[in-house]
Amino acid sequence: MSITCPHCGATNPDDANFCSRCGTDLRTESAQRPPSSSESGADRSIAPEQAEQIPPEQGRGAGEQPWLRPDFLGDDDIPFEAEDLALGEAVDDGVSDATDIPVVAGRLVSGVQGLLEPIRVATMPGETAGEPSVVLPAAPDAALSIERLRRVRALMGEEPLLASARGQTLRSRAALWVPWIFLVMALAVAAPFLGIGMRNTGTARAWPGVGSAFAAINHLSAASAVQILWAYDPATAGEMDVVAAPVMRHLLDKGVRPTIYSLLPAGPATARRLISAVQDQELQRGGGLGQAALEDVQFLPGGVMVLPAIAQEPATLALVFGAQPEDVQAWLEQVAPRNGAPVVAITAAGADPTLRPYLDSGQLVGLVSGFDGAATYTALLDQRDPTAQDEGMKLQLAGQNLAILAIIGLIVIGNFAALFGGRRNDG
Amino acid sequence: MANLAGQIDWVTAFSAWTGFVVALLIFSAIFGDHWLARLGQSVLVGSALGYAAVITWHALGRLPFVLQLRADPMSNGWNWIPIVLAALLVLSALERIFMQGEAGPPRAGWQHVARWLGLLPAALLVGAGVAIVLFGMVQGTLLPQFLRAAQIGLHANLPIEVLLTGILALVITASALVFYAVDPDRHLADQPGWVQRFMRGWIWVGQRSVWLAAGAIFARLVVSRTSLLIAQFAYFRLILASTGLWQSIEAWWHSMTGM
Repeated sequence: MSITCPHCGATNPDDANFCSRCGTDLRTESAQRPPSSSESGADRSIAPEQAEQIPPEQGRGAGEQPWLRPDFLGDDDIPFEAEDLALGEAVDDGVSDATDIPVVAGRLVSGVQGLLEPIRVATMPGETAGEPSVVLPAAPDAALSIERLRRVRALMGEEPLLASARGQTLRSRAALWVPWIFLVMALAVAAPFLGIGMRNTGTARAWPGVGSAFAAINHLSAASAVQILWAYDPATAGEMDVVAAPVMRHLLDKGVRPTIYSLLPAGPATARRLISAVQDQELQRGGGLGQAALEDVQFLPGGVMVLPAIAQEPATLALVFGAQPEDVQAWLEQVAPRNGAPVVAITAAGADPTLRPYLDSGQLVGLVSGFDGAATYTALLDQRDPTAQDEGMKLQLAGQNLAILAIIGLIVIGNFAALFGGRRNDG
Repeated sequence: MANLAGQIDWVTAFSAWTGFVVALLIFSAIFGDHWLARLGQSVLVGSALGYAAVITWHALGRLPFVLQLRADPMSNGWNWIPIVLAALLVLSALERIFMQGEAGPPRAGWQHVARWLGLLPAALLVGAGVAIVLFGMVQGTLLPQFLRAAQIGLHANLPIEVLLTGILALVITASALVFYAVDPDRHLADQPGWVQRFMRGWIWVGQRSVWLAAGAIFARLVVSRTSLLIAQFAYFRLILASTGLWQSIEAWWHSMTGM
């Protein structure tokens, strides 16, 4: 027994309360019950009268894994074809407002990490255009009307706004064999273990902000009051530990006893673990580090609302160890304007583009991000040649280089698929 | 900790193998949604939530006003207000949790009361949160970024790359805003042809700009995650090879295959 999500069409167990793919609340009447044997899996969510408009070859079985099929991207937009046909005719007839054309619920981009809220893009026959989604979306798109969302979806689906292109049907959409993506990424992951790409990992890129971050921490003394916001937990510690370790080592080397706050329950434990690991490493190297104030690591429940209370404490320097740009932004918005302490951000590579403007505007005095930032900071700290990296950093940089090559390869493959796939269909 | 033979203690070995197995369970989701992948997800999510719940409970018990209440419950009546509001919210949440799956208006009178009472603390929470965030956004992001942008001017002494970057940023930002704000069907239907073409061109540029921005961020994310995955495999290879179980498996394999 299974239940079909009305938003993305995914099959869920009968007792599921939320869709496992897009998170839509299934505890409503619009959720489809198990289909009859005559229905195909992909068109369960559409009205029977509209199923006739869909080419038979687009229907698929319920139990298949759609992402393994060669035309996966095409199957996702089965309703789009019906919508396109209807819209194309409506536009040709001079109808500018397509909200009264019954279209089928489809899937908007579900997010890079699957974290965006599902948005009801289109309406089922009989529904009003303004009916809100059963799950209140948190994204800014919530303010858009259904018609606006439909247009955004059409635009995101590579359909140009020129009238001549409106007649495009689903068959002209590029077909990319999704296993190519898995194959290329698997090769990129396996390559370092075969020795490929490990010999010459190149030099880590010295992004702006690393040098100033180093200088800001270097000017500290043992008496300096340093505040740290520890905004990552074990979920993101894989990358963040690599970036945070040299910075923490520098802090401990200066004899600083920082006050560490965390808004995440697992943040203090993550902080203590990293600090202990850094101290153990230094002991193994024969060096010694000042004892950090491991007992002064506080978890503050309440989220962003608790940050203004931290601003009442004076500080010489503030550091934000955060995997997400929102953590750094929250500190810059809630604390920094109040206590005036300069802020250094230590963050993941994905957050770097969002935080660059804050560095340019002077709100951040330093920015250390990603493996490149970690390698550059380590080279500054150890006063050594940036190309001389330890094995761990070499592996990270090699993996990064291979992943970049893999993405370039996928872009090339995708463009070839679009180029030749479109020509083949038109021919 | 490793002994002289290079093996690690049983606690570390058990943790390493458990982590490896759970990682494989999660990876198996690539091949479809099945009970093994769900088991891995449940273990991870359940343990994280359980730990978070315990830590949060302990942290709540150390709040200043809670410590005051524990020392002297009648010292300050205002300290009871957060407790009462929290209790109302918890009651309302429990009612919804236990009534989940039965969507629709509440049936019993107490359910009505519980849901209504929960609205007040929820409103306070949301209202205060929104106010703090909005005020912070203005003072911490909008104002400083606007002032910074206003300082940048067009003059002959600007390096060419700075000038080009600034112009590009202006064009991309404006076109992305137009893309999100203008609906050609509604806003341009009555406009002259040249206005429609001009605006559609902006929208076209804005659409591609949004794609590029999203793609660049996604690509960097994929790159860092792939690198982490490689490092994780390397870690597993290193740590598991130090365990007695791995060495036993290796010895068995040698005996079976003769290699």
